[in-house]
Amino acid sequence: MISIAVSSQKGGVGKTTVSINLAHAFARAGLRTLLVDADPQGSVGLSLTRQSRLLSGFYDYLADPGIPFDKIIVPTRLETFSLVASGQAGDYEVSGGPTGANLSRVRSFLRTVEARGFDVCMIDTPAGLFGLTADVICSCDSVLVPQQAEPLGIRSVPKMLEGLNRLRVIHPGLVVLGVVLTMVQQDMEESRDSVAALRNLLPDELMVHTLVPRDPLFVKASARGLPVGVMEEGEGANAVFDALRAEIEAKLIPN
Amino acid sequence: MDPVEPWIDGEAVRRLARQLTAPPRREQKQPGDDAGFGPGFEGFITSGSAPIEADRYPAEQAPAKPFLATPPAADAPPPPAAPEIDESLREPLLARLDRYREWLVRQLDARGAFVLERDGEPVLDDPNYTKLHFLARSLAQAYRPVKGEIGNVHVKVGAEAYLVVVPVDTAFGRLVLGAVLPQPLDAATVEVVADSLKRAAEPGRR
Repeated sequence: MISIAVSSQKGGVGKTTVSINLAHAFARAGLRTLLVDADPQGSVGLSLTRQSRLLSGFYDYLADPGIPFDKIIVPTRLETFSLVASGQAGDYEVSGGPTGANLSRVRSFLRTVEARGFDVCMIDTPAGLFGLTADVICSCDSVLVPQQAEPLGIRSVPKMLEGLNRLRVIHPGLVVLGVVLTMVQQDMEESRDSVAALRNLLPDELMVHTLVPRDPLFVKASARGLPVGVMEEGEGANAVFDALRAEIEAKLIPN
Repeated sequence: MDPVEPWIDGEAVRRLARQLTAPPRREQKQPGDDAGFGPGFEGFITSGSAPIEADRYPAEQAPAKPFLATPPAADAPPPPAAPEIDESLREPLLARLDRYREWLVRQLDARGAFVLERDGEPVLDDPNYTKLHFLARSLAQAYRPVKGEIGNVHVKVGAEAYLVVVPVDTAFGRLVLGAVLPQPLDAATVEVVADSLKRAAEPGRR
């Protein structure tokens, strides 16, 4: 099983958009994929019915080892795509702790996911590289870092690299898939310059070449917690995340 | 205008990036990495406490292994007398359990005690040890009784403080006692503790 934490230093950079759509891309490719919403402010859970939103989820599983795993899995219409919502336990009860407080439980969770036969587990984490997010990153095989293609976003890159270096001391085998630029606006000079500047700063291994454009359809889809591919006129956007999936597979499963 | 360079030390970024892409050190896997309960487990006491090292204890004082009832020492005192339980059912359950807890405090020097029902919800809570519910439930779920024995599981949670977990099957389902005691319990005392809890939960059903 491949486990991928989708994490960033700042919020609002497109983590949830990337998580939902990339997980959907893996599932469409035939890989049994589990998308986990570990961000209490994320919108993955919005796509669930109101009844489903009352189900237990990831935070409940962390807080109570007695919760059966089957109770937190939510199937979708795509047979290879399942979700775990953030759940009912308050994030302040779980994610407010220091780094390491939940490491054991997160690792136990991932072992259970793998034992259930999932090929890919993608975890959308809260913003910041500390606390629960750090525990998730230190439990996963790899981390993908969405970053807004704008000057202010790029300026947070040094902090992000420092944070990942610290986590790699705890988890030396962590594969950093790289920075995936989001909300790219080819018609805006500052956005194009940000892309160029980051490509100039970071080595090739830390850059994801697929760019996620800013598009109203992504905003609508993410607001509803849906993959953009299931929205009307969304099929074209699938190509972006199919390319992202292929790039990540090449990094994780070298020939 | 370059949107980035006036704000970022490019050389520092490149250095950090090189560190991140350097081959990983060989991971040193520690035994029981994910167990959370190493030999010096101190539980939920303050982080300033140093971990207990096993070789600091002479052999006869070494903490008992968890998941086993401690066999009685040759000169061990007899187990305490069981508490008096009102079998008339006039007293509500919570009142009976509260008196049971008072008995634990008097007879076994318990610092606190709580009782969980099978779904992990507290039937009798102790506000000083709410954080131990998770641990008690985990230990109770890991417990596999030896045939013919009422065992207990226990783990050191602080200096002279053991969380002793005794699962008890009652007519209402499994109850889990979590008691914070200065010493683990021997088998004879566990039997009295378990039986007394069962009687407190279901008086008259014998």
